[in-house]
Amino acid sequence: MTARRTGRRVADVLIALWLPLLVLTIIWIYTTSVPSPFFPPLGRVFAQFGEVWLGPGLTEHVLPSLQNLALGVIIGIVLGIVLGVILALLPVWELLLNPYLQFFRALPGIILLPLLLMILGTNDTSKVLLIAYGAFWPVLLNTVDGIKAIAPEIRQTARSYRFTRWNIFTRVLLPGAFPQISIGIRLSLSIGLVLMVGSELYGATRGIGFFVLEAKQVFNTAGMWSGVILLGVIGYFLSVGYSALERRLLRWREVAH
Amino acid sequence: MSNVDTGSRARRKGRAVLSIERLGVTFPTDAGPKPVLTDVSLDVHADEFVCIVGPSGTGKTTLIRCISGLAHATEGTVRLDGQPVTEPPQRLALVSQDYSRSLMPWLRVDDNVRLPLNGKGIPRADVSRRVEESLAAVNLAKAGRAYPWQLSGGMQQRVAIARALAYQPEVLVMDEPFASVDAQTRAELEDLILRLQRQTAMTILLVTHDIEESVYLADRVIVLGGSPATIHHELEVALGNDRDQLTTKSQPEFVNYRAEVLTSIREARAIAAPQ
Amino acid sequence: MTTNIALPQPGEVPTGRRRRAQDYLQHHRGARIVAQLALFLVFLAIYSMLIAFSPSLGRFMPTVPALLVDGFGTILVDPGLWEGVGMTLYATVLGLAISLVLGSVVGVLLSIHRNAYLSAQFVIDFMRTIPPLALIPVGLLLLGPTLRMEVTLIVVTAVWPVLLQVHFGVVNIDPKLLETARSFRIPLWRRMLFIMAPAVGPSFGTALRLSATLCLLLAVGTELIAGGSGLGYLVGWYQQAFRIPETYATIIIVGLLGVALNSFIMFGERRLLGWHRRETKAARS
Repeated sequence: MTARRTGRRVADVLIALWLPLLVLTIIWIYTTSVPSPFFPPLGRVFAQFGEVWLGPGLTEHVLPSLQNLALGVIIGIVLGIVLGVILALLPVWELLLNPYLQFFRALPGIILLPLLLMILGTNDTSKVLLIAYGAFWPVLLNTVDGIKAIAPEIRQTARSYRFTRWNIFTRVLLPGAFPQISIGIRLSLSIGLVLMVGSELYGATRGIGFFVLEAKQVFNTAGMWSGVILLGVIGYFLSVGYSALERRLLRWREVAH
Repeated sequence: MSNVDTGSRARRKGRAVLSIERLGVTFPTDAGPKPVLTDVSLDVHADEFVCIVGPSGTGKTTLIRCISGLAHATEGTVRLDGQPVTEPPQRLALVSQDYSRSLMPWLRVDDNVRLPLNGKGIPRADVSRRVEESLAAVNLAKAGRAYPWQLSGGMQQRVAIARALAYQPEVLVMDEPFASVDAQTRAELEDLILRLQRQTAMTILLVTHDIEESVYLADRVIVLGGSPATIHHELEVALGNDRDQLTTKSQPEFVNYRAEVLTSIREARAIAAPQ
Repeated sequence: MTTNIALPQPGEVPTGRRRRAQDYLQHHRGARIVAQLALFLVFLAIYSMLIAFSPSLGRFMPTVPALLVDGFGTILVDPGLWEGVGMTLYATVLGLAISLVLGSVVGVLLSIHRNAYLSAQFVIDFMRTIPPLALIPVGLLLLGPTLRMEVTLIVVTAVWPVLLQVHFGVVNIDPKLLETARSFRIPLWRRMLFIMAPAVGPSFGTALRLSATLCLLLAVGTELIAGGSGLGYLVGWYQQAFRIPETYATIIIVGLLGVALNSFIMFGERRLLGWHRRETKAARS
């Protein structure tokens, strides 16, 4: 009964936690007792969070990084969806453009960074553009797939009820394609994050990635690790946060097939 | 009036190939132990076609799983040729209802039929021969190189039957094998399994919820019912060796048997109803 | 105002001019390729006009002939490029192979019991969301700008999608398949090799696709940022030397490498997994 189920839930939580806690403890003990130029005591790494990331680092590095990420991802996603819808509705063009789309999808976005820095300079614009580029492709391709996949019967039904063009778009196509589009958005978030970090490791003057690289150059290993952990945390919360958002959105937009 | 040949199949009871003694199955659940089957005793004899019929959810599948060694009963024993069944026995083959989930989708039809025979020490030539023959027996001689998804539901089930045939079992156990196909295909498959039984003299135990099917196919019909389920009724079906969808099903004996089974099922349901 | 709009419907008998064109192109590969090439020439024309009319862009973008002659002409005969290709390819493939093996083994092991995966879940979820390039400084610190560092980074990043997909595949094997095999007394090792493995095949294919993309990204990114050798490094080098046609040409080579990798994988998938008709919603990255 309920007592058993609560017991099982508590057990689940414990099972989920023991390994991370164990690993953390081992790392703590090891780094504190064994002096190593590469692995500073965990305590000092955590202290960095108080000193840097909640202090001057916040405004100097974290906020600009997250700003670039947000801007780039939003631009990429919006453009991806818009162009994806257009392309799905123009199958002739999709067929013709396909090899070029495949090429750009296969090209690792990071390799364009030197070009962008050269053309636009070493500023935030080039970073945002790179992130937008990376975020664009998965959303574009998944939007096209998602809309094409909507069963023709559903579109037939919409037509037979004489839906307006706009209604078909908002009430049938978008909600129906949303699960697939969502997969693309999730990918674009992770690619965006990768490119954000990448753009801060090459020809940059600020940002979390830049901080990490600089910390390494001056052998501030605690700072370096703290930056890496921060990036991991950001990545984790982005992923978890988007999953939660996705679940809520998908729950409303159940398209019965 | 009656063309029924009751002579040849009516009861030269051969030896008991399959013996089920006081079988009982109780499941542990959150709300306490739940008995599903109790005191099921049944002997199936050589060359006999036995149908077990009962409403859905009575535990027919549980019974089948115990008989075929996939599950353990809480009470009682199952014996095949005198040996207790604790794991899938060698001389028994199972054909289940869900053909699409029992055929390996990455294998072609003939490889699917061949699969149970691989690695059992049977010479390759014999294996190929068995595969060919069993596919021919189910009228799929030309479909060997196709993939299961390319075939219709009825054809897929025939592949499953061919696979069981090639295994050359002594007992063929079938769990609602024709429930997932349309009526027309069902009639064809019923005739197919009848023909195969007459040709090979295999012992067949078939579970179904279709009363007409049970009477049409069986030498003996066992009615399973109640909760927990047990054998509610048993009747001999003396409709002869040669059966036919049209003539057999219009015979008065058929109608009587059918009525008897239906009545029995209704009784069983009434007993189980006050819950 | 209501209108009957003509939405593209695959499989519908084409009537309109547009649909006739679509159907034709879909089924006549020759015509399609010609049209695609024509489109390519149009792109080149637009591109050339763009840089002709905009001197500021023209500084940073090579004209088409310059791209061909100075760009490809130079790099294709330069052994350095081919060494770079070999390097990047080697790192990518090696990292991919190790990730596949490691990820599959761990994925299978974690599928033995629900609690096994549950225990590891947080660690897996956290590790897989660390943005891969973030570990480059760490890699540089611990291993220096070496091939070993590059491959290690690739593995540390690409192993997670493999692990997840293989685990998903194993856990979702239809139990009916295994039960059927058990009923025919097929021994355990045969069940694992001939039934579980093919059943996990489609998930493994997805894992291969996802992690291959990551491997190439990591390889090129690490080479660009940490330097040393490889195509990533070459692109950075050419750009800093302001040799623009060569930069673009090398970037295109990187893209072609990615396309080749994807095509190879798709080809393999089609041959081995052709039976997997029902495409589940596979993410295209």
